[in-house]
Amino acid sequence: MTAEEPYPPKGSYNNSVHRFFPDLDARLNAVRYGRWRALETAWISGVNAETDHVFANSLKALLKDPPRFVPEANLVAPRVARDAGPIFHALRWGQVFEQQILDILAAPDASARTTEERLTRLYDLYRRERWALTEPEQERPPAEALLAAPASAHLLQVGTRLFALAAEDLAAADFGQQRWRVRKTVDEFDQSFALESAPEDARYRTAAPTVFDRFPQIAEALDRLARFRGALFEALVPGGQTPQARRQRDEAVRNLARDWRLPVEGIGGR
Amino acid sequence: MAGRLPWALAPCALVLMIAPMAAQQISNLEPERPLAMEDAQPVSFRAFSGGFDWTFNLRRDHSNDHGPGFSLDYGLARGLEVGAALRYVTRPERNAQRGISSGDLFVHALYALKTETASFPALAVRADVQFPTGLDSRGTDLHLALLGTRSFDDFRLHANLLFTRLGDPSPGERTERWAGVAGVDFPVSRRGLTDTLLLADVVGRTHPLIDGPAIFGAEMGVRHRIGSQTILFGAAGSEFSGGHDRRVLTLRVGVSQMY
Repeated sequence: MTAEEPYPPKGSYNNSVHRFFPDLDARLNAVRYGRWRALETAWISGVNAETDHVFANSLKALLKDPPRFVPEANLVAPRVARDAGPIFHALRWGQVFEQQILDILAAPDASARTTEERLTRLYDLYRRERWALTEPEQERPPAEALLAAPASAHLLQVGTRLFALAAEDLAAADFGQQRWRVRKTVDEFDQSFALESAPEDARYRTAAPTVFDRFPQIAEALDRLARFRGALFEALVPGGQTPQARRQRDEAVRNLARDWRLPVEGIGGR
Repeated sequence: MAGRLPWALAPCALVLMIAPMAAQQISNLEPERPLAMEDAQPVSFRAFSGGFDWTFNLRRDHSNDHGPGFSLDYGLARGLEVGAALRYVTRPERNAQRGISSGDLFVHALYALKTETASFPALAVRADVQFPTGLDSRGTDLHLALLGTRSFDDFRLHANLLFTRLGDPSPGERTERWAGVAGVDFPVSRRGLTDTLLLADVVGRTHPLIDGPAIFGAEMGVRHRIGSQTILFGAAGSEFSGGHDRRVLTLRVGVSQMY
């Protein structure tokens, strides 16, 4: 039986961000591309100054004309999809979860009750899947990756903060007011990339207080996803350029999967 | 045939009515969407994939034909896809004599034997039953296929091996047929986007008629995302051998939609 995660849950809210907030959606897509590219680059070449420079430039170029559609992850990060299946599935299932939360919050027929019902159903569906992340048994704070690739870390953090701010805008306002708040957030996001300002806290707990107050479980699940991504980059610092580095990387990623209660079968082995 | 067309259009109409949603399936290759090759990846669990195309065949002996094709697939379980397909062509009587059906219903199941890993390609098996619902069709036919896919950094390779056994062959028609397909696909975008996929394959198969020569051909196609879950596809192909009625040029254009 294949390990593939299921198709995204169906609902009338699907694609609401794409339909009603295309500017925001395009930037979110650029961040999604950036995340998968960063992962693929780190898997192959590790996290270092050279990959930092290449990745940061490619993401900035992509943001000048952000993509209309969500990336097909297995085409952007084919090696990760093939060589680290459980990690890939956890991240892709997390991306679906994150995307659908924004779609639910942006739905034109959203009310306090329907939004809560939809988010509860989505959260249950997310958690039911074996690729859903749960609290890790132990967690090592990321340190080396941030120092080895500061520009990339900054860009990815700004991107993660965009997701949190967008959720806050959509959750804190009604459909009529959402567009103004989202436009302001998009403008600030564009400036933060251009100015390379110091990144602010990207956690939902602080960047999206309304979401955290109303839907704490969902905010925690999204913050957990961001923590997992940070821990993964830490494990990918050695890269896969030499057999020794590959062994080191594969072992670190398997340990990460164990910590986060993900299956380790299908990680590495080449 | 005219009486059956509205029913044939029903799956397509259903697919066009439903709302699009956010996920990506451009790399999930299905046969004739747009090429003969298929990847070893079933439709995702709980996903519907519907497709419609129009295919033109320009033949060497000028007995050209064209017609619509419909398909509907569903991810019944993880790694298990079921589906149905239907194709109509003009000149059904003449085409039936040379082993080309018009209006036959294909029902299939595709099972993923193995997902791709670092050291092993993805493998899947597919079984189709072809019911003789078309004009001048006879017998229920069985099609079996072994599918393999291997991804590399910038492209994927696909190999398909197909076997067909006819339930009630016409005089002069081959009861058992073999076919092999080898192909490649890769995203084409200078910016690294995954919205457009270029595909090419070569096909070799036994001729439907006992005294017919083996058929070899090549195809090239493109899949381009025009909506979150809507894909426009097109292809052109040619057969280099295959007798007096071989397809000099095949053109196909269509859309598919995921839900």
